[in-house]
Amino acid sequence: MALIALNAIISPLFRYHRYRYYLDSTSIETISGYIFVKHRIVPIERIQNVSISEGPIDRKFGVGKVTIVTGGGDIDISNISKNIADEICEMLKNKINDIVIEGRCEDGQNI
Amino acid sequence: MDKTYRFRNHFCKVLEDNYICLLLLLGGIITLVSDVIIGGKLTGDAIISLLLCAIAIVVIIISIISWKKISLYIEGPTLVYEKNTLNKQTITINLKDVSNVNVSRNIFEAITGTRKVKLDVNSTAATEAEITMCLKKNEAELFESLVSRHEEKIGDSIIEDQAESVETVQEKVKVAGITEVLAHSFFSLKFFSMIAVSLLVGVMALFSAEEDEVLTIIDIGMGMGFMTGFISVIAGGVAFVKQFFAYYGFVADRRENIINVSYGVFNKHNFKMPVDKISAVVITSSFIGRIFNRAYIQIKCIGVGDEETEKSIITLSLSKERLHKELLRLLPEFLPEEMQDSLMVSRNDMHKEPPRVKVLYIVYGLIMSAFILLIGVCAMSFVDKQFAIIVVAIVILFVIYTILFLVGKYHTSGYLLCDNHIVLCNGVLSRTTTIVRYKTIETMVMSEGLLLKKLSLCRGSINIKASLVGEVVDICHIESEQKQELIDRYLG
Repeated sequence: MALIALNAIISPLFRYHRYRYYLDSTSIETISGYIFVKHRIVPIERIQNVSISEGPIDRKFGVGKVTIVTGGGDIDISNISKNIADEICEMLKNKINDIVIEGRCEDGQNI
Repeated sequence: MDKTYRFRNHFCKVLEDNYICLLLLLGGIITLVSDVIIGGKLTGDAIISLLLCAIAIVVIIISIISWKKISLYIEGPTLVYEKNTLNKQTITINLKDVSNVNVSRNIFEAITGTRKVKLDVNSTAATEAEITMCLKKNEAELFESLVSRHEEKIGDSIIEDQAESVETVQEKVKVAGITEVLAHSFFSLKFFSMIAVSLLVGVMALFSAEEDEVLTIIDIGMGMGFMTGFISVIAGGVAFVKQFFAYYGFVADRRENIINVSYGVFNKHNFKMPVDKISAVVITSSFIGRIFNRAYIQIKCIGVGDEETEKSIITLSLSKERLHKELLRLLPEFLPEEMQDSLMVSRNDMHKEPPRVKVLYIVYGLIMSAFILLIGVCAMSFVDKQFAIIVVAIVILFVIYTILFLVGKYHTSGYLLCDNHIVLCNGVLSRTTTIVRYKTIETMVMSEGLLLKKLSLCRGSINIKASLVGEVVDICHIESEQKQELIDRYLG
């Protein structure tokens, strides 16, 4: 029980310091974990939809979670300030639109 | 302007969906007739029958109303599915996004001359990923042709020329012979799981023996051996016959960019899948298949193989050489340059896990064995002395199983990083070799624990589109230095 309690106190600190996210024009990457560190990678062109969610505690602290959905799994960028979440969402939306327009141009469809 | 083709479910769908209500209605009517007309009075049973009949009639009426309000139409490149029941729903799909069309029939549909048409969309959103209709045979063929036209991009001629139906196309390709189907049914048997299940049933049967019956160790051993052998043979026989009927008349062919697969006797399936919607190719070799050097090819594609009677295979169990030829004929896109000459399906052809991984497996083995021993010690305090020997035997069996599991896993795992593909080999007794194009990997996760970091190793997984929820394929342990190389190849 003591170990579980100690873990409950320590692990959030380690998780907080470990957590990183990285976005560029081609991909989104997150690094998270405590004992086992997970490095998640998603190319932007695989994104199917993006959503922002915030619970009551998130709203209290002005943070939110961006969920990026692909055809084979999701990736979360969690506990980021609401403004940054909106910026990320807007940036990804523009990127996805550009990719769709490029795809349609390649198919020879009217935009 | 494009012609509009409208489809509606055949009435037999109402009968098929409500067969329980119909049986209930029939039973109720028989009871009412025998009680009221023959017996001459309204008994309690007759009142219950009357109520059940009323409920069955209401359910059937609701079903008929729903049936009348569901329709589907195709106009140009768009398919619209309309459901104007209590919960209205309209799904609009671009036919280019269709991942596969499955035309199937069971015995009831064979008698009524109908076919079940299932259409899957290349999306993981469950609400719009699958549409099922029950159509007359010629309507089903027309529907399939309309959808295929957009997948194949071969023009309108196929619609006008209905003479070239599914059956005619199949006559041009080679149908698998009975010997091949029998061989596949044998080589794809899951031998080890059958023995494990039989052993479990045998142990349970012995434990449920009468309490006053005194069993010696020899009795128990003989009993377990007999039960395991008997149940294994029965289960094996049933699985073999089921496999034979499931794969009878197997045909796989490629027309333009469409893969056609057809098989089955009682539940006959006919799949059409565009090649660009296929996420991965999986070469599977069961334990028996590994001994006899046989394997079969499965594909990973949304909507294929997500129901019990559906199998996503494109070849039966064949030798390596024939398997290579079949993959070249059907899906050469999934053959990496390194595999153009021969199909690498053995661990020796792949990059093996680094030898340092043995340290990791030893640690895992010790932790698991300690855990099993702990459970065994706890179990000993709850069972009679008479059964203590069985608990010890089970603990020893589990420890041996853990050791064999880790040894098998180490000897089966492997990987190959090619220019456009990644080849991942996984398994313990059976072996699955998954060939994935980097461009069809949806997400990649690489993980490192404390011990892995110390050993300069990492492992991971990839997510691909398959079935409704996607599928995870494990990447075995690789050198930490190769992690960046893998990510760079994935991101192109």
